[in-house]
Amino acid sequence: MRLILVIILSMMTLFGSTVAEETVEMQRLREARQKLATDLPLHEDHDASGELTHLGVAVFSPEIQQVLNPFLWRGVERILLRIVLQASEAERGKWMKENGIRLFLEACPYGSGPFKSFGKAIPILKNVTGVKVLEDYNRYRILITGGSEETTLRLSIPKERELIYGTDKKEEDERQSKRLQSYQGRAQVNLLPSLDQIYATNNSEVWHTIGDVFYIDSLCADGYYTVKEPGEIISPIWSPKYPKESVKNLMLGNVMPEGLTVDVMHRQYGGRYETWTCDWATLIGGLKDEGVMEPFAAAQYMPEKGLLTGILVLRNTSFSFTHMLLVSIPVSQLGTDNPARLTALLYTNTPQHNVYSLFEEYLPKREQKPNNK
Amino acid sequence: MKRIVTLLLFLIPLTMMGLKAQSVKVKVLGGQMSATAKENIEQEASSLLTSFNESILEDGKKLKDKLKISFPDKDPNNKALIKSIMDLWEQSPINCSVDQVEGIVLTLFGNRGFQMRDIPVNVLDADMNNSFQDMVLSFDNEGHLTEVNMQLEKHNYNNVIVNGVKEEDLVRRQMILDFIEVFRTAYNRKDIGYLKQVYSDDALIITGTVLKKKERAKDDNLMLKGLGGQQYQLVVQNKKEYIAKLQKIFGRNSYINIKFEEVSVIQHPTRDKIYGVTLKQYWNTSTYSDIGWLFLMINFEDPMNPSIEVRTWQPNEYEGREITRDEVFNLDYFTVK
Repeated sequence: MRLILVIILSMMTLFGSTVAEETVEMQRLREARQKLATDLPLHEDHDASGELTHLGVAVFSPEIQQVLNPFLWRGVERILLRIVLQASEAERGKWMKENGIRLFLEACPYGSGPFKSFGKAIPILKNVTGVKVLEDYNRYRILITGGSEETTLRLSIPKERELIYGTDKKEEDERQSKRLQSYQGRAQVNLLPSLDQIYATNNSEVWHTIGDVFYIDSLCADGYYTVKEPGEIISPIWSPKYPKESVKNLMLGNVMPEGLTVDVMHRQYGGRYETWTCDWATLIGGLKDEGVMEPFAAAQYMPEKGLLTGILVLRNTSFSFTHMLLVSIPVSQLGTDNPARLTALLYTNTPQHNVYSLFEEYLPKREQKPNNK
Repeated sequence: MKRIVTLLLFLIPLTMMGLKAQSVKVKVLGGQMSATAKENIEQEASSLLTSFNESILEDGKKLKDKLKISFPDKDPNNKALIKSIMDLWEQSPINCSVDQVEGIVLTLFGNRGFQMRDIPVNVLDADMNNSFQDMVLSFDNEGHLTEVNMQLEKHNYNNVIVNGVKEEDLVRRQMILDFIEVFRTAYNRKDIGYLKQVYSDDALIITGTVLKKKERAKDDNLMLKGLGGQQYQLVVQNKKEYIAKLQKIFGRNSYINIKFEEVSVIQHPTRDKIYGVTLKQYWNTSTYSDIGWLFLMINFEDPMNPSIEVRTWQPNEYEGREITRDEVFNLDYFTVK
């Protein structure tokens, strides 16, 4: 079942990318390939209109492609091709350094010792016999074994969406917009927790699960439930009696009301907006359906206006970025069978890999520490 | 822990590349162990660190083969020691930057053997500020190596939980991160139209350029030779001047690839719609590269259209050393009207 889901996910992702225009990166690669000959085996994909959507050194077998995140394996192949197609060793070294890419032949860093020339790596890439992908909190390490002596080429790349996807913010915001607008799936409501996963709150009627936190305690993955005796039946809260808890449940997918639609305003590169209307379940399904997106939710309530704002942050730790959805919900719509239209502001593809401190402390000059030379 | 480092002059070029002496000698200065255990610790630790260095510099020689020679009684496929070494190696090759390591060996509680800590190594596939780390070697009671680990813990900035912050503030800061990414993308796309729009008409802009070092003739003044580091030029400009200059830069460079790292966001203490952003900028174009610190004062009065009121640049290095974050311009340097 898992393999089928992976294949379906890969196909959906591929479908999403087939309607994209050629990106700057693809254009660059295509032009470089025309100028510099290479006889390395390549992977090449085109969309329905014949536009080039992937070009890279063939490293991953079809079997491995099915279990790896498609952005990752395609990104690795494309980055390798970028490395191969640089016009000189100097330009190669410069491009790799600028992008935080490191390359080793066995343990020898590129540019030193026996690995001064990239040519040493070619026999491995021509005859790949094994690939291993390692991951830590901020880098991927791809160990490619091949050649007649089964030597290992190590490629180390930062977990940066732009580098791995090969699209900048403008291109990616536009791609996401098209993908979300044409998305046909629907998010399913989350499974109920078991009794041993829920904890009491200050309100005896409300119980909650404990989830991860995104910077502040109130923006978290906690779900809210009632427990009804007899039989200890757990139900997710969706009621105007508990507005904040209900909104958080809505954001996280613990409730998925039928007929709920949303007017989406997608803020893109350059302050441009793309707007469309869709089912709430379709929007959430689309946002979650590309890689592992961890959800965190918060709710703000203005009782004098009867307005609730839901905040949903979806974090992708595989490529260090977030999407953020800010949703306005009239309190009167909670728990109703005739839900209204919500309005939502969407920010996508916000990088997180380069954040040193999102909440840096303000220190007046006179209180700053002296230099330690 | 006492540590003596000896560097050999002819290996300085390799040092600058991060690769160092092939042979490493480990000396035990003290500890409660038998003479035989001491000898084994010194010999096996030396073999291990030397194996690391040799594996990097020798073409095609694999660490696993070297370990077979260094530790013939350890079964490469099964024993925990070889596995712990190869697991570390898989994450990153390691070399020992010094040719002599001295230290005291600690005795583990419960007669579980010994440990030698603070062994300086260079992790080749680590970020620059994490590349120099300390290794820990564990030995059994006879002084035979049993385990190899790193001492430095990974730092994941995003795990810090902040107290007392409202959701609205967090949302605004995420919007700032998004704005910064759009800002960076605009430079890479040479999007003059957007940059004209995003800088306030009254923006204060300080730009800088690193000056190329002149070739020094042999009879140059010795004082000039003594000046370390790079020289740079700072210029104060208004928006019109800055945009005009940027247009020329965009015109003469076939590509621009700017990276932002170490982004920090500070809210003004009294004007809650004013934020300061400090970040390290890696400016790369087809004709010029530099690393510097950027400070941006961003006005969020209109959250849908934030504007840049101040943009300053400072070089990453000054007088031969890297500047600290405290030395970068911040909100306190500027009066907000």
